[in-house]
Amino acid sequence: MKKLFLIAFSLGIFGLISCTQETTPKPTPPLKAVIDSNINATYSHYQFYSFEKGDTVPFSDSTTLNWDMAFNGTKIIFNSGTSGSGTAGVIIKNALFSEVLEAPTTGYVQDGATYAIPSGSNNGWYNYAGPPNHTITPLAGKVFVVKTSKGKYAKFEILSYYLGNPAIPNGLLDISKYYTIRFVYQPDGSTNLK
Amino acid sequence: MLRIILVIYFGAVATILHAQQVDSTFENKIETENNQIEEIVVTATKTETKIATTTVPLSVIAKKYIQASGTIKLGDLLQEQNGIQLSHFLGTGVQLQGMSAEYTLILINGEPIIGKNAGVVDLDRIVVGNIKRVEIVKGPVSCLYGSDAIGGVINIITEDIGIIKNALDFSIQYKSPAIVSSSILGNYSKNKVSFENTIVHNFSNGYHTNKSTVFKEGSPYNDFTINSRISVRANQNIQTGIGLKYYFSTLHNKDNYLNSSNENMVATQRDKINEFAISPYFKFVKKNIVFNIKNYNSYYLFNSLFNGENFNADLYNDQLKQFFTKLETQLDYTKNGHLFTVGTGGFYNSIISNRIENKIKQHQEFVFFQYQYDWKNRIIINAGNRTDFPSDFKIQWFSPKVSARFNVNEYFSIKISGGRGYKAPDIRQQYLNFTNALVNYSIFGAEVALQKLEELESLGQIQSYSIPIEQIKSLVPEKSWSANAEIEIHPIPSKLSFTANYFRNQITDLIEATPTAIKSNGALIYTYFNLNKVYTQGVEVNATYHIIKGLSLTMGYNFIDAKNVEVLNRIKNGEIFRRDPITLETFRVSKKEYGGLFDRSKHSFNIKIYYENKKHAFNTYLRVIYKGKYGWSDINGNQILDVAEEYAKGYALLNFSFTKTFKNKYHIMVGVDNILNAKRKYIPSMNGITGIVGLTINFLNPNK
Repeated sequence: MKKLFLIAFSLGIFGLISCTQETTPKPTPPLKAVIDSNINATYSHYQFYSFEKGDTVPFSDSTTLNWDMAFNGTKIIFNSGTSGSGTAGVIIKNALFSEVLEAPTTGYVQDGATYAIPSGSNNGWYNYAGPPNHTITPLAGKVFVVKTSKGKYAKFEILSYYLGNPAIPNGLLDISKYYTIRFVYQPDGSTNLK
Repeated sequence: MLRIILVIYFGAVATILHAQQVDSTFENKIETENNQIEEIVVTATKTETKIATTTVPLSVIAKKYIQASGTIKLGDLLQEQNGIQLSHFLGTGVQLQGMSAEYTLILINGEPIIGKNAGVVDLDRIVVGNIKRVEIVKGPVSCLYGSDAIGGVINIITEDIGIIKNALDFSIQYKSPAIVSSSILGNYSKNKVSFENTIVHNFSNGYHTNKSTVFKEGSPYNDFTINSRISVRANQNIQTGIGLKYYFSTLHNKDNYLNSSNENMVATQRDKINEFAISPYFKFVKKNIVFNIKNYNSYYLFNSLFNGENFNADLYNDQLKQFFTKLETQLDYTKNGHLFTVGTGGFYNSIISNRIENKIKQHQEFVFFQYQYDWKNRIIINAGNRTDFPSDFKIQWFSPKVSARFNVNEYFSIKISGGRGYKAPDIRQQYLNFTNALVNYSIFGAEVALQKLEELESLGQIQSYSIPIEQIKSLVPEKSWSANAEIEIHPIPSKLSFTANYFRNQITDLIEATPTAIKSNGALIYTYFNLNKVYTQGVEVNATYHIIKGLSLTMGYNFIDAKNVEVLNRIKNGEIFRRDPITLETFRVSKKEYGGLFDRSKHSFNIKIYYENKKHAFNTYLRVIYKGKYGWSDINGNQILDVAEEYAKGYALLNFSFTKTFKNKYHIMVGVDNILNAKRKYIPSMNGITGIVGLTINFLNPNK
């Protein structure tokens, strides 16, 4: 009898909880992490990229605010300062992608005399293995928090520099200058990157 | 040219025709009637000491075993020893107690070998044909020898201790696929004068297993070593003499490379080394006093050149010219078990290299002392210190050490030691000025970096600095604290023995090149800094069992744990990551996943069985050497050893040899190395199963 009462009681509690949840305003659906593979950075010019679009934008847009960052070989630039007409910037965090839940409101580094993501092995986003295979490996645990050209927030990490995202790339045999990135874009203008 | 040289020196053999004794006088000492060990060593205390009274971890490779194994390369010989691992980057180096090869001091007859490549003396420069024995002291010995002796000292002895018997000996060996080694040894002693001379020649046509490239895994080479020593025993007290060494080697190879328009081209490699050393000495012995003056002069000339077809500039060009001269005196006084040693000296070193802007001149003075007390062969205590005064630095370096041995009873003894070691920054770390245009980076030595960066800055070639420029400063030596504790057990004295050694070394101020600035063309500039901290610790266990007369079994096991302390701290702080290549998820590397320093096996062991049959005049020598898996290279780009793909598989070598002696004069040796056919692409000496045949002739019968 006592047991039955307990069960009924706990069921009641659960009922209450679920009731209250239903009455509260619907939370925004969680942001989706998108993997964009094989971004081609082999051109003689930069390959321009928009987080809003989640895709590349044409070269003809290079003077507009339609792009946030651009790739050329191992170089990554942002639409700001010496690189573009916008105010896009980046903050580099040493963390897991899932740990960066909130974009800071200040502290974004723009392209200037030095790039916001510095070049060089173990200096910015990649490690260069040198001989014999000369492989470029994106540094794990580097999360780039971006303030876009249009003032929105996003975070991304670089997963691969080789076409087809091979598990163990070989710098001599695999085709390089193809980026695979994982990103989360917050379209509502808030700093929430959950 | 080679043929002419060969003809001359084989001709010389034919005309001289004499003989030598198989066992040196030294080894006769070992096998006294009741098998009491009376082996004399010189490396542990810089004086002649009985091995049973040494207070530090020490091992000796006797000539008997060197000959029985038919080894041609010093690396192959050392690799068969417990607690030794080789490294194969820019030549063959040797690691002791898990420390990198640049922390092992290599000596020949107590004198340093000059001419290092990336801080390492290439073992392939040292021939085996004239070695009488090798003494290995593990743990720091900077208290006697100064710089580089952090992991220990390997002293290659080519001279006899004691009386030199007349001998003439010729030896020739062939090792498949392509090495021929031959040597002549001649000792002559009359009245007060003795003369020792050896000529060793090694020749290889190279070998080639992967026919898809022009690169030969085994480079064709040719080297000559001539060693001579004249000693005069003027009277009972005074001995003087002079040693000479000449070494010449050439190496050729070819390799494919892609030029800027991605065409397959062939590059030619030519390496050449000339080395000359002259070392006069004077020794005074009276009752309980030994006084030594030694002068050592060495000249070293090295050139390595890669040329490409239709390529204007050299792909690689490294030139080094070094002159080193050293004067050292030492006084030993022995009385009632007390030994006092004082020594002082200095050296001058000059270097010219195409990778260093100016000629570098350095000198350094030093003074050392040592006190040892031997209480009835039961308790032996040794304490010493060496102080170095280098010209490049305003500071002095102190290297104290204390060690003790307790012979508890005939079954049991203990050795304990602790002390400091140091390694001076090498010339490259101080003065290098090198730009690699192909890979697009520059490295500057710490002494010249500021000036170089200012020059580039004034030309507008610096894009940015990665660190505040004020952080660039003169390097200080890398320093270690080390401890060793060893127990020795003889359950059946002179038949069965065990030793177990625990060691720990902590090195601070490790010098490493780090990115300092970025040029406007995107090229990185590196400078050397005192940055890192590593530790190595481990256990070395040895067992020797003389089963029956002539048959002995030795076994060794070595465990090594070597880690970078900075990496451990960063792992603790969650700052090191890795990405799973399949799921693309990122993880924090855990302490457990960190595999420590690259290029050393955590576990290794060896088993050796030596059998000598005096009645039928033959011996056999079987060796099994196992090296466990070791960190090979960083594949996932986080710069540490952490995932399975970054390890190279372990391997086992099984080597067997058989020597038969005829008429006490002719020794015929046949052997098979690497019977299990192990192969490693980056270890040129491990190219599968190899055969060895050798012939040694003693023209003089030592028993006469």
